[in-house]
Amino acid sequence: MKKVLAWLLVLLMALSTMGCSAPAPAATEAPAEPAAEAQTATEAPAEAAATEAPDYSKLRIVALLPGTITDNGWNYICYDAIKQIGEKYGCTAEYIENIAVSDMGEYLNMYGEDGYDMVIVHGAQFESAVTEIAPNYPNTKFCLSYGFKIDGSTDANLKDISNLAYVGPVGMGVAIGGIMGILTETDKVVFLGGIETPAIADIVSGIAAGVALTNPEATATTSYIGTLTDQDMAREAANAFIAQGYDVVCASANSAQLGCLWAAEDAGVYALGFNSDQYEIAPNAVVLSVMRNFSYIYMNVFEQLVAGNWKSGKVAYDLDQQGTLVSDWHGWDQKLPAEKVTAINEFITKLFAGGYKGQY
Amino acid sequence: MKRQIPSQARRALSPAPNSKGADILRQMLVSVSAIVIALLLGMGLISLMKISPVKAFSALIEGAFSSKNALSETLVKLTPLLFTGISYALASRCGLTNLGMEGQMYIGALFSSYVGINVSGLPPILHVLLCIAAGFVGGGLWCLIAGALKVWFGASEIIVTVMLNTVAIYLIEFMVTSGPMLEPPGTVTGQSSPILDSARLATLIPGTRSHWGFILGLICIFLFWLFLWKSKKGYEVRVSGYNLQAAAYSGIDTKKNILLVTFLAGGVAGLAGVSEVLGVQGRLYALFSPGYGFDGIAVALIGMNSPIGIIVGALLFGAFRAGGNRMQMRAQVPDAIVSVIQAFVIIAVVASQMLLEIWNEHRLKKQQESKEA
Amino acid sequence: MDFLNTLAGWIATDLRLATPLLLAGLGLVIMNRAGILNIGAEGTMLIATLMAVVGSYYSGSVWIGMLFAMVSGALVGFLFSLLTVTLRANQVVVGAAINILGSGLSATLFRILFGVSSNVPLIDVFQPLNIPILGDIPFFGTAFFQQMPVVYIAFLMVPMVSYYLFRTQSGLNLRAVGENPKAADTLGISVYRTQYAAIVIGSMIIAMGGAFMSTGLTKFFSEEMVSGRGFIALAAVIFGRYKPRGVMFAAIVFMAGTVTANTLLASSSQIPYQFLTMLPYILTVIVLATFARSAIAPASLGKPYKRG
Repeated sequence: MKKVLAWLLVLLMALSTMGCSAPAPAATEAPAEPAAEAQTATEAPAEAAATEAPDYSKLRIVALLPGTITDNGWNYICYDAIKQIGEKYGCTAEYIENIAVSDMGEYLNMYGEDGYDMVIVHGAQFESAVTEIAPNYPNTKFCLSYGFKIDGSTDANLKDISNLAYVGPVGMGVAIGGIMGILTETDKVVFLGGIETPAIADIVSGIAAGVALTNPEATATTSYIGTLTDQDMAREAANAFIAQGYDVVCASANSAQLGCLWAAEDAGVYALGFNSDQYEIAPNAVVLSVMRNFSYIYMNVFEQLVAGNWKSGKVAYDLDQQGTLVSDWHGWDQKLPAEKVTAINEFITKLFAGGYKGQY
Repeated sequence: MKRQIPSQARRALSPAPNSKGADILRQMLVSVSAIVIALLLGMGLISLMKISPVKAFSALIEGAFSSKNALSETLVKLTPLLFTGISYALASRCGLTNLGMEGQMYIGALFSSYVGINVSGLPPILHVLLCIAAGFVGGGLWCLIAGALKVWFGASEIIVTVMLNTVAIYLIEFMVTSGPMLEPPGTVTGQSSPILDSARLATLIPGTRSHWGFILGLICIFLFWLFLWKSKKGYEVRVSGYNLQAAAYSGIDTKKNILLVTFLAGGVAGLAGVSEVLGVQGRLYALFSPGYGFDGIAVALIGMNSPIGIIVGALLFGAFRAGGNRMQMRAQVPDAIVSVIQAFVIIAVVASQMLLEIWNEHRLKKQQESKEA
Repeated sequence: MDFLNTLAGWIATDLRLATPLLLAGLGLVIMNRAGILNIGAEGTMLIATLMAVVGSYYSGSVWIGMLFAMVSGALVGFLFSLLTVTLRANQVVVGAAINILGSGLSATLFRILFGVSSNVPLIDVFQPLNIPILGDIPFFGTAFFQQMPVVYIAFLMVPMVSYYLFRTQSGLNLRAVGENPKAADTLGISVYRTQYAAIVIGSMIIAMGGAFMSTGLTKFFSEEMVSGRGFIALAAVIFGRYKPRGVMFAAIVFMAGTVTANTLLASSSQIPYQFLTMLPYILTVIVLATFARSAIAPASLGKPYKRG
């Protein structure tokens, strides 16, 4: 009996620790509601006084990510973008990592109910969750990163919801393909995707078109390696291509893509960095890095929202709209043959000025 | 020496729901205090990351229980865990280790979404039942591979089920990216067309995401109990789980039982996928599960493979998932820490259960000694 | 001649890739022979990948990194033995918990120590060591003797572990514990101490495999980088019939399969990539089914031993 009593005491203590913290949620929830009201209040002056410096500090945005922010790729760039917005405007800028598709609805509901001003949903695989839930929270703007294919085939199913924008760069694959086409000596270039997600598939869709612009003779191969984490396997996959005479490699596979860059460096062929400036990862291989300019894209969407110019539907950032960014040469313009440097510079300038429009 | 075997046998064979109330209470108390210790350790880790543990902890409770929506989220997360918990427990009662619930869940989701999309013109209830049956068969067959390889080739079901997880996940990814399940106009890769409305499970609490899959889960718990403790087959299964050789000597066809149990266990795990597709997502996605299959191990463990225990375990881990999401949201606790805490919980519960067992043995020994004296 | 060069390169790659699998397999063989079933190799390796990077980063020497990784392996092994040997907990469940712990803990610690950035710090990593004379032999030199030190160590450990298990008294005791702990106990062998030692040492060897992944095969840590090798090692042990030499053979064959899958991928075959990725796992299942009957597991594998 004594022992049962002792155990009961333990339980009581356990419950009391829970009990102590139980009132706390009520406290955290209380300010959430006034904040939601404040949100409508901030919107009004922001619209009224767009020319004056608006008060950003009360605005709240959040990025919902499918993976971890330390992935050296897709999730990291979004994290970086949201951090920059927070630093520049002093607003609340948060992120949530590793969201499975089946959990997305829950997060959208939570942030909608909390009255966040903007919710960035970083992955087109969450499309149906967003289109289902966004109409329930008209005061929150939802921003879905979308993989626009260059042939426009992805535009057909965009839904017209006033607080939902489909956002993303267009034609990035063309830029990569074009540069690879100029770099190659063997007329064989390869782009390796990690797994077939919408964001990777849209790059893949542009590669061949880009290569055709600068080097119609070259073979452009695109393939998937089936991993986003296994650098070692990625390296061997890239090696297998290099062994077949491919001499320019680019990969979109989060941290696994580092393996592809190392493979290129070991084999002495060219590589292109992707998503962030990856020169330092393999300085003897990475000629240039081509980046999705999400820092600019999300910043721009946010600024438009604050200025009262929110635009729903397709908000694509084409090559001439800073959707894509090319890194510095990091000295490679001295190492490469001069005609290649000139060709790449000319290609990028013309491409980013919209000069190839209609040709891809 | 002789003493131990009967006591173990009693534990293995006696119906868990009918064992002594004091024992159950003690078990529960020990488990709860173990969980509290694990949470305290987790909070320590959180404070190492310069996050207020109080804030994190209150977010956890808030996300799991504070409102109608929070409760229904707990319910949504709890539902698949009921199925995967039963799956692990059922196999475990037969002396098998099923680590393939994640894969079986994906295959179950594949089968049921195929039926949900392609079979039209049925009345809703019939369509839902057909989807459930398809998912059960799918998950069951997938797990039966492991059972068959064990019976006929002697391959360890532990490793086979683990390997089949990866195969299943990539198979579904293929199905919805370039395979036959891809949504026809090729809009967003990685998902199937939506299932027909007649195959959707109805909402349980209006205005929330909770759905009738929960009721299906409770029915399965009941059937699980009925099968194991009220049927002759179930008795055989438990006997073979306790001692395979003894069961074979007493004339039980253990091979047939292994095949039956792997099929049933896989089928129940498949239902986790069914309830996700029909109740939550409405279509099939690549990589849709946040790890419900693996959580099933912990759920069954905390529930000590008993029906009521599985409900408690699923509630705990469901609440933990719902609250863990809120913890990320309110207190910026990284997702990785949530899985560390989860591991702490499993380790603490295992350790406490074993400590209790050892303590019981010790006490029994003392009693015996004092009697002899 | 050109073909020979390609073949030599292919063998060298295969051996290098097989090394983490081999080390993990050797660690597991020692444990399995002592009656311990540990499915937590994946988590143990993940923690080791991080600790090797940490050690190398702060000390500037990759060997210190290796030491860090082995200490972390020993700690994980100690936790595992505490739970499964002293407390007699279910080994599969504890192994599963170790995997969750390894994945979460490595990610968390990595973020605490290195923060979030796209930069990859330069750390000291293993470099190929050209063995004098042997390394200069055509074909054989390229294939076998221009490897990283850990590769030599791993392959040298095969005869060593084999000798220990089958030719020494201590190894005989260890196997006795795995076959019939009660009988071993009667003979005066301390079952618990033997199992503790087997788990701790085995985990240290597994950790070496993890360390080689982040400081040899690649040059830094990234989350989930072990990507299932800890599980494939489990199968390699059965394929290798619980013998070190067999495990070596299994590791080489498994990785040869993967290298072949990559070549298929590069020769632009029409097979969807998901099937190529599944290939090692399907192969494992087939191999298990084929070899399970002939691979006789230690009789009390996975069963906790209770004294008295």
